[in-house]
Amino acid sequence: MLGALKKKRPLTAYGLFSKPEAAEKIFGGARHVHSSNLGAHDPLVQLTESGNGLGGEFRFPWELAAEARYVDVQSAEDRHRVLKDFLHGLGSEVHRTFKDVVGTVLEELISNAIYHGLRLENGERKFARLQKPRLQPSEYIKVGTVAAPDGVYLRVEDSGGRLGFDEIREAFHRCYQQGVDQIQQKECGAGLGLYMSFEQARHLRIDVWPGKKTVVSCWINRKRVPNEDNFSFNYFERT
Amino acid sequence: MAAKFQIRTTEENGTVVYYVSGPIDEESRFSEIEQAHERLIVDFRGVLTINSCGVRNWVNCMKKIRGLEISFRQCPPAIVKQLNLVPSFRANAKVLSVYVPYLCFQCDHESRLLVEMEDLAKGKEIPAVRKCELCGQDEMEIDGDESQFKMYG
Repeated sequence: MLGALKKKRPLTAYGLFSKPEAAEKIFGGARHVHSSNLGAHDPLVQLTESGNGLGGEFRFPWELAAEARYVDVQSAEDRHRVLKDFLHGLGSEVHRTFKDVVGTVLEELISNAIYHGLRLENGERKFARLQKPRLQPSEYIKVGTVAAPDGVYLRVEDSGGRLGFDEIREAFHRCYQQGVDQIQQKECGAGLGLYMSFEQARHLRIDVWPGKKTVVSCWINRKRVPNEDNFSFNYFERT
Repeated sequence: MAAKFQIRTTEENGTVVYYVSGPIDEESRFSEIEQAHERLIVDFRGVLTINSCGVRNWVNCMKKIRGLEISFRQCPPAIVKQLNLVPSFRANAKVLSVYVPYLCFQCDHESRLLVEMEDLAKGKEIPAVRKCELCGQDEMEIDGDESQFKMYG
């Protein structure tokens, strides 16, 4: 009984890690990785632990979902409109390198939702990357964004609910190993999107309601801050 | 109007230089570069963004010209990021120069400094702090990890 409980308990890794080290932890089964010199005393670790008890029903401090401006993405073409509008909305005073980073991450998250999140009944990908699909009436992709003074919060929700933890484990492992198979030649994409997003973001969170919806959200710092090694990854599977 | 991906070609001292500009994405094709048969330089200064499928297209291009003497120059931060994340993006190419972004902690002004790898190999350092041309304070610091811009060797 105790063994079964332990097996079900999502593993949290805490300590001071590099991103490749965090990827190894994730490959080892950790659904939550908190890199911080506070270790187990990091309030975020405690929040994650209590959040697990709530099925992930809580917000981290950087999550500004309530203040987010939401837009629907109806088609692949919409990606560019959403990106352009958001980056334009950041204003001309926001520096170019930061805009490039935010633009890259937001595009990858939306593309992931379109080309990986929405699938056929049998789990196969629906669309090739060069296709410009329109979503079916039963499908949706909702993009939430908040531009705060110290960073940007991005949230992409799709109606697929297909992003499994094992898929993320495999993707991070493949990408961080940087071997000959780092890039996939699949029609739906190169398999680098989540890796690129995790590399650029300070906090990445994935909530999956299997078969119902997936929410991928992240926080990107506007400028360099002390404790560059502080970051987190969280995967919550919810019912 | 959004900038379009394009490749412009010139010749400098007997070497073909390919100027890549605009966003690199799933629709970007590098057929001009893939047809190269001698040493070449790729100038990335005009690249605005690159997504994961753009990275793949570029890597596939690099596979086709494997064996040629390839150099990259004027790599903006978006390209430098990929050089660090995806080893096959560079493959056997030599990086000649990169743009290092600086951010002023006083007034938030951004500027970029072109750094020649040859100079770094000779012992010259990437300045950790620069004077801001806007507010005049010595508050401009490298926006990112300095080590990622050292591409020599």
